[in-house]
Amino acid sequence: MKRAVIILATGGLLGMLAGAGIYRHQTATERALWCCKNPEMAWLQHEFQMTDGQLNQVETLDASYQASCADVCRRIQATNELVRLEFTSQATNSLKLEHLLAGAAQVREECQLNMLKYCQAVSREMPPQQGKRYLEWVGKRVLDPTGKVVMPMDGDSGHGN
Amino acid sequence: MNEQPDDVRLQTLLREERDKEPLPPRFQDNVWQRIAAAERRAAASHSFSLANWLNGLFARPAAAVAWVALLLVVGMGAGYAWAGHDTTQWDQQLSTYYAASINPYLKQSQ
Repeated sequence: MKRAVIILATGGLLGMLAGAGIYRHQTATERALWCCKNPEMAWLQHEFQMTDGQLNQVETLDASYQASCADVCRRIQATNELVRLEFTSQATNSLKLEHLLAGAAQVREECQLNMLKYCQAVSREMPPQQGKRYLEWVGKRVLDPTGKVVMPMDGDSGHGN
Repeated sequence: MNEQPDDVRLQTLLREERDKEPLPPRFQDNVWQRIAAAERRAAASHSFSLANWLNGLFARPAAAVAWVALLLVVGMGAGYAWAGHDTTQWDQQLSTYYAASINPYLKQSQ
């Protein structure tokens, strides 16, 4: 009985040590990503196999985009608030509401256009195959939720740049 | 009802015996204690056979090595599966953070 307990305990201990070792080895890269200053960017570099130089270029693009994005965020919030106030007021002026909704659509279009341009610029910094994969991935993740997407090559935007 | 002569004799003997020597004190308690002790001995012999069986299972060195190897493989498999689960979850989280960081509409909904 004692022999059986010793063998099972030894096996269990060795199994746990081996499991912990494999866990540490298999998760080393992902754990390192979380330790970075900017985990999203570290993830982008890892996922799309970018060099440090390419990542620097993307970070520069990102910094510039985030500045314009913050401005767009403020405008989205302000427009949404105006639409909400007009909609909930007792004396809703449908013409005014129409005008506000058109303004909101314009902000959304501008936002989407900026985002698409940013994504295309980022994809150009990546290795060609990865850039293509990035555009496919980003298309699913950031454009689909809004429904309507204004593609920069449509040439009918008339807003933004 | 006619009683056989042997029965009559037996009953007479028993009666004489009972009159001669009364039952010892706590006779019934002692009987039950002996029954309980016999049951305990039977149970102990069962657990002894389980221990024997376990010892037999690990007696041969090859069997002991096989058991250790099996536990090692189970541990490694669990570590691998756990790591796969965690890395998938972290990848999803980071990709969601990145998507939210570039899409103002996703930012606002979070």
